[in-house]
Amino acid sequence: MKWLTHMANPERFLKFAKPALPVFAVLTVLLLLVGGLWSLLIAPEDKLQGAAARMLYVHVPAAWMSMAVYAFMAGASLVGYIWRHSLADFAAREAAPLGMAFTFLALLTGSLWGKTTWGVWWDWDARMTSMLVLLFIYAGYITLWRVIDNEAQAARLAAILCMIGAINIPIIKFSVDYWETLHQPASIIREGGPAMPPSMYLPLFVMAFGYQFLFASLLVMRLQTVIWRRRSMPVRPASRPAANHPVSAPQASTQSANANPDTSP
Amino acid sequence: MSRAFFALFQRDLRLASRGHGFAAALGFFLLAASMAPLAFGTDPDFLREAAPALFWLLAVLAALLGLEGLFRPALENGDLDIIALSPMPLSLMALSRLSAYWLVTGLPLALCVFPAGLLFGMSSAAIFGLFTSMVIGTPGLILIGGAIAALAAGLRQAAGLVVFLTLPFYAPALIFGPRAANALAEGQWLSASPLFLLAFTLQALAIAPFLSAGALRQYLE
Repeated sequence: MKWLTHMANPERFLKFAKPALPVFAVLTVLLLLVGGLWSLLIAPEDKLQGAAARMLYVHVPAAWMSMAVYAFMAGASLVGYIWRHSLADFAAREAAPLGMAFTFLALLTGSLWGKTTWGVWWDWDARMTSMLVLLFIYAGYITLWRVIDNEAQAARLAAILCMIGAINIPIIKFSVDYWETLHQPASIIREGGPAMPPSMYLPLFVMAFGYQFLFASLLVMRLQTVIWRRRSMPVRPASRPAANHPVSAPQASTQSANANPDTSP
Repeated sequence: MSRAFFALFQRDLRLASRGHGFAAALGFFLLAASMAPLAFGTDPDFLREAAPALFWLLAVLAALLGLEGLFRPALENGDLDIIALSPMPLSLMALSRLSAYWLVTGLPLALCVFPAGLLFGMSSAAIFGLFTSMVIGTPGLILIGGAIAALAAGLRQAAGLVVFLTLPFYAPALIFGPRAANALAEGQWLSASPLFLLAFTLQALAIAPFLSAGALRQYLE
């Protein structure tokens, strides 16, 4: 909580970002390089699927990230909604295209893997379907930000949409699981430890951490850009909700009942 | 407070029955259902099998049709400003409006399966199961869709946006709706699908009034 208020100041965020970004970027490159070479060259082939099983190392981390990014957005939206923390609003906004990209990557690699293993590009199985629905939810969230001109208003409405999603995504996930499943059941995080030898799950974890740092570096870069861009612009009254539509005196009195003063960063 | 709520509810009911959202929804549902055999062919066994899924899909689309106009007129003509200044919580106002809209749209949609089911040669038990599943599930559709319509209430030409944002959230209803209809037709009242469908509606009931109110407040500021 203390850290949250601390980071609410864009100046302090930039001070944190400046040394953090190179560290994140170097870790991303290192982890993806090590994980990539390890999984492609050293990790054993699957008994049945051969080298095609190496798709695992790009597919599974992407699928994990697609969910993790949404969870991050939901958290950021909640913080932005409750404490009117505008940096959190922007964090949610800037994370959304990244999450959508991970979701798309998971669908794409899943489809390629499916073609070699099951012989079809697409199969209506539970996880692919819920990933597809998640992709649409990301698209809707990004669209809502784009169609509302007033940034402060867009932030709060998008936060509400993100929370509807956060409540509904688990429900969608479980209903789709109930609906049908051809996919192999969860094999990494389950009772009794992973169903894979360490020679396979260690490179997978390295890749997963690489993806996480990739997300962190891109997010920090995007947030820096947002802050710099807003700073280079002349101060616009549009960032305050009440000031966007110039109102006449009698209306202004009703507005003050709900007006929130401090939303500009 | 409850007297104020009922007065508001009666007013919302009159307004909802005067608007054309429900006529569009019912007209779409009946027309599309009776046009479907033109595409599917007239094999009676196939039609009977396909009917629950088709009717659920059409009901989901029909529920979306009038939603965009649920809160926008009240926002434009200042009704919401007055309610926001009164002691009535905005979430109760949203609940009243959403339930009034369900009474004039969701319930008649569910009743439409009686004539449509006969056209598709369904047995009376199957029709009754389908009707019950719709009575359980359509409130959830309208509550979730209503919350999203509230998000877009202040935007111009938001109809397409509301459809686009809402449809993914209807996935559980599409999964459990037709299955619940079949289970109810066989008299399995307490099997998984009807209960899941009920849970979908109940969670929507728990969150939709508050989220709608939160969204509308952004446009009142």
